[in-house]
Amino acid sequence: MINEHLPALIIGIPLLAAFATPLISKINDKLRNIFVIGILGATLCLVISLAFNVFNNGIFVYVMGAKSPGLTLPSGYKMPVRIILEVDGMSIFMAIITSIVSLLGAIYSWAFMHKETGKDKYYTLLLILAAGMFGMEFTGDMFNFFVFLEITSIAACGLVGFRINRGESSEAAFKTMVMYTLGALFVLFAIGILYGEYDALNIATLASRIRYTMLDKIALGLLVTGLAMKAGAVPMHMWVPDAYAEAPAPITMILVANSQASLYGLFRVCFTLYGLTISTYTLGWIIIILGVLSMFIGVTMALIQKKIKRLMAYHAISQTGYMLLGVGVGLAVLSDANALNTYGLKAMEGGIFHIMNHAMYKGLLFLTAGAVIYATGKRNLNELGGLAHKMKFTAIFFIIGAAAIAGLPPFNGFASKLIIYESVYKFNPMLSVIAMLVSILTLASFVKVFQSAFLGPEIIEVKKEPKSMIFAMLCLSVIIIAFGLFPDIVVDKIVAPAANALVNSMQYIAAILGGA
Amino acid sequence: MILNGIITGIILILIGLYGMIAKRHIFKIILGLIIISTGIVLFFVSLGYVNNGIAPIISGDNLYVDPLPHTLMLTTIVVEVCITSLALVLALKIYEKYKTLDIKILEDI
Repeated sequence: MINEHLPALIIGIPLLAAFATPLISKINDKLRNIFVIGILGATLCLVISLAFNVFNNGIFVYVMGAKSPGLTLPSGYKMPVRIILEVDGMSIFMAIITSIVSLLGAIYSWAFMHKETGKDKYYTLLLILAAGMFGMEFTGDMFNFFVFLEITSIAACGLVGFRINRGESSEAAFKTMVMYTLGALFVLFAIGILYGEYDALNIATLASRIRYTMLDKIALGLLVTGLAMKAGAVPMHMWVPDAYAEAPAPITMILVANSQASLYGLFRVCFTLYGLTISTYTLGWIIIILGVLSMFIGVTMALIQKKIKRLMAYHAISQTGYMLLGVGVGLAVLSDANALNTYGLKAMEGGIFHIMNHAMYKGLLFLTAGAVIYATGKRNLNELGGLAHKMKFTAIFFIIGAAAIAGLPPFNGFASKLIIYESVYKFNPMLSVIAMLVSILTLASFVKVFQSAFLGPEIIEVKKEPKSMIFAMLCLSVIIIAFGLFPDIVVDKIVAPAANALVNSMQYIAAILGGA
Repeated sequence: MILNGIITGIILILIGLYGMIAKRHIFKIILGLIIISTGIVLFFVSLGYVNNGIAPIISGDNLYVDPLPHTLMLTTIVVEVCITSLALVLALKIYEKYKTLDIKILEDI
């Protein structure tokens, strides 16, 4: 019974709980925290059970309000009209990331937000953000995708501007909102073009009808621009440092997952929507160039930053480049079966694995930055020093996160970066060299942060970090080390199905049109 | 008729885009966003229109207009109202803090 409705429940439960949160908040603060964590924990359980279902039985199609997606008119004309949720390996992969990150964000918030006011609104927006991300990942309908994109945009901007007493927060929220909305409007315009041409909104139906005309190229350009804008790839990255630096630390972690959800949208458009009809060589190179630019510009900008969260935000841009590079290589060789099997698929696995690893270690780093700011009230690296004396746990977690982002063994960053280096080298050695160089610069930058924030004599007053914050960071560290020690299992069990789901777009289409 | 609507919509989108890129004032950027979304609404509604079409009550072989874009636009209009109100609140907060909405001055602070 419950198995049939899993995708709808995963979106619906956080969404309904979001609006119950302010009411429960009236009763008791503690009760509300438990309620939010319980809801997100339940969602994680549902996601995992859906994941088993998808990995065992293939693509899961859920039709809202009916048995089959089609509608037969009296004239005998069949058309897919209903709103569908279509969950394949890639969608469920992203949903696992989203649910882990939002659960740990809520746990971390318990202590982190303890002294703030307006927490009922904070938790409401957090749940809406999670529901919106699940929606983006599960939906099989272009317009629905736009609606969920806007839901996450509004919730994310509300959370970025949460510390309304700081002028910078409002500014950052405004900047973020303009970029998010503009990106979403581009996506909507592209959906309009596609609907006008092919009379369908369903991704599978559109993919089967698409012919790659001039208008389709315009729509593709708009979609790639809009979604890359929200993912924070380089020419459109201006909002990222502001937003990540100003949002409360647990929210920054969820914002990273949010950017990745729109990255998922980008991959879905490139592979499923346009994958069948065109030689994707040019498109793949565009994604690769976006990725290389993001990698390089992100890391060089990060080297000169002095504020701890701003520095990490630039690294987030730089790491997004790795994912774009890995998946872009797969896209470039998509029509060449030989190259795809020798290194293309491997590169995609690396890029997709990096999405998950990035969410984990970047989340951990932002949480340690949050703990530093919580304990000292200072954001500037020049004013920090000697924190390792009091904040032993945070220092250890920071080392783990920094080693993972720089790609040192035995942490998860190394596992995915190694796959990317090896496979990209076969495609174009130069790209691999740039990726390694960026990795070294990343390490340099984090050595600087560690040295100036954690080492040295005790120069400032430090509070101890509370238990709930340590617990959230500990969970992420355990995941990072486990993924670093056993990358083969993770790649085989969940990453390879995701990469295959992207490559075999025929299956995605047949799941809808074959049964309709 | 139908082409006029589409072309006007695209022109509105371009005007809004120009406003957002060229004007360095928060209020004008919000106006740009509103103009773009209006253009998109007009674009969608014109897509659904059929010359000499009637209301979409299917009976016989009559030409009827496509109702789907119109329903989609109801959702879009609601979303845009949310976005605009959020943007205006943020602009208000920025003004309370810095007493200006000019981005050139805001960048220096």
